[in-house]
Amino acid sequence: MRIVCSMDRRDYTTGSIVMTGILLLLAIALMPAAGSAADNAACLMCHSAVSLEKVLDGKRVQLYVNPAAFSRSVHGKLSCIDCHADLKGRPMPHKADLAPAVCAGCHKDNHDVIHAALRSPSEKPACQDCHGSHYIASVSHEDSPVSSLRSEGTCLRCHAESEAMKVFTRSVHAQAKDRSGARNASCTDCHSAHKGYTSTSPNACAGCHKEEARDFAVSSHGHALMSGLKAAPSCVACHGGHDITPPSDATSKVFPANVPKLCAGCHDDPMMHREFGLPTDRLKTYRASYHGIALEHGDLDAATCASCHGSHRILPQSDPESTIHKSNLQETCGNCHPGVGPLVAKGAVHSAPSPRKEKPAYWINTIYGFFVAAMMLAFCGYMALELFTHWRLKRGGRR
Amino acid sequence: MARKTRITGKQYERLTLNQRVQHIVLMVSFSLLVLTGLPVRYPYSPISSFIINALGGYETRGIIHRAAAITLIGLTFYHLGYSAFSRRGRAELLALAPKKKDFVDLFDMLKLFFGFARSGPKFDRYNYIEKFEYFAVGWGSVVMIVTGLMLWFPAQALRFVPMWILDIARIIHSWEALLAFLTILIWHMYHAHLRPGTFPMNWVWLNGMISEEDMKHHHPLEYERLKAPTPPRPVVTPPKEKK
Repeated sequence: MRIVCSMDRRDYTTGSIVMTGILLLLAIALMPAAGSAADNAACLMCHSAVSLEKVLDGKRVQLYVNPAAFSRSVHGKLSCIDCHADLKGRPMPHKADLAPAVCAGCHKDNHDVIHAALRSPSEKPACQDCHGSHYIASVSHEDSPVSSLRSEGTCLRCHAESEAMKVFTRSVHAQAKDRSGARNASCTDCHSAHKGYTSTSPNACAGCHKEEARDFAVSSHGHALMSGLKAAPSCVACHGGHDITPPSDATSKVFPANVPKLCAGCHDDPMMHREFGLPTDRLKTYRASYHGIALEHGDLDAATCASCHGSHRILPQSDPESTIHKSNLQETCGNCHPGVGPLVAKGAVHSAPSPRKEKPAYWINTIYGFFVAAMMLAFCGYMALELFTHWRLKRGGRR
Repeated sequence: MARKTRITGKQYERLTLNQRVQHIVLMVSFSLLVLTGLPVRYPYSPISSFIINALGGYETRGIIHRAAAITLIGLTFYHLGYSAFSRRGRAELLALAPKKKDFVDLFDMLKLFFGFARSGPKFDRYNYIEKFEYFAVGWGSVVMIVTGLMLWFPAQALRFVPMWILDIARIIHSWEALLAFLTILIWHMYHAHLRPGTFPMNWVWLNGMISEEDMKHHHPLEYERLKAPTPPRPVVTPPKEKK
């Protein structure tokens, strides 16, 4: 290796140092591999025997390790004593019982919050219970028991009795994604492996539903949720959790016919009105509108809340980007009513005429009602008088 | 006194076949409009749900409503042409035109009702009730057609009128519908079916005929005019001689 001191050859110098570094790193990386192969050979002298087993608590436990399968695993380059740490420096063959293999030596950060919190030691799963032991595949590999394809079966070993698991099988996430048999989403796709249910929507959903999550993040609902408001809805509040079905499914909470009731859950709630000032007449005025009437009677083309307000990207009317901002109404209404004129913005949508607002509609409605009642009274009065007169004259005629 | 219309005895033609067909078209389209429209006025009543389901769903309800509306619009235009351009239609329109006598007749009738008179007014071809009904149907049709078209084509309507006018159009369409329905149900059905001497019904809408007896009783002025000898032709004044 040449050592060049002149300033103009600095590039060569840098290149040389980097090259040296790479070579050194490679050497370090290869050393344990070379070493482990030798160590493992010693262990495999016994443990490659298929019939090797012991009896623990009356159960037969296989002690055989398939060397080929082990070397294909993510830990194939490690030596046995890296995990079976209590064997370090002990004479071979070792005594009958070993301490459980230790993962935390390397996997320091992957502390399982949820499972570790279980009180009973017999319920508390160890790393191996989910990941396997000697033949661990990468979590992204479909052979891994915690992969998207297989996690459901793995989790079911303990969670078979949970209601969530029962409804999950009917959910859209449980439908087959393709011929591989993989679910659209399985347990570990939403429940981050070691944090369990502490990772909830929207983050749990954002991995796949990127666009929706982006829209949600800027929406009124998203802002409220991220500011820590517990009453604010996240994805599951509207879509459901384990039982989630596509919006086209009549049982979905976001199926068009179910949307008004869903939104009214908060937007027609006296508590939400008291705490956050949400208006309470949104459902009532919607149900009085032609859209509401058509939807009530099964016209699924009728506009629901989401048709005008949007779904993930709901913004307040005051926001110029909101679909219901006055300047955007022509476009929003135009989605269903092509060619709608700009005058659509001149009037109320959740119309509720009163003596204070929408006065013309209020007075016309009131006066028309009185007029109809007066007409009917006049008709009935005339008829009664005519019948009475007929009877009076007939009686008079008989006399 | 049995004054039930029989085909026996002397009969006068009151409605031509053309007019009777007009009435039937109006009756059918009106009934369909009411049947498919009132459930929208009372959308959350179980009866409304029943009617909409029986008709085959909300979309079908709308299709029937608009088909009947097209029929009514067509009839309205036909009737306007009939009243303007046919000899019979023009004569009928003249006979239906409100006159001062109609108000006097109503006043006289009320006098009879309240016992201030011994007999009621004498009517011509159409009495004030018939005239009122005729123009109520006409006015109602115009109101319903105008507001109905606005609601049928809201996008187009909103090029000319603001949204709040469309809301009012809906209020008017709704109330006018109820007014028309109740008027037919209470007022028209009473006069066509239940009125003393009319039960089970006035057959004129089917056979177009009125008996001489009914003619004398209900339309004496018209009857007298028909019976009167034809008035002599006006004397034609001879043209003035040229000087």
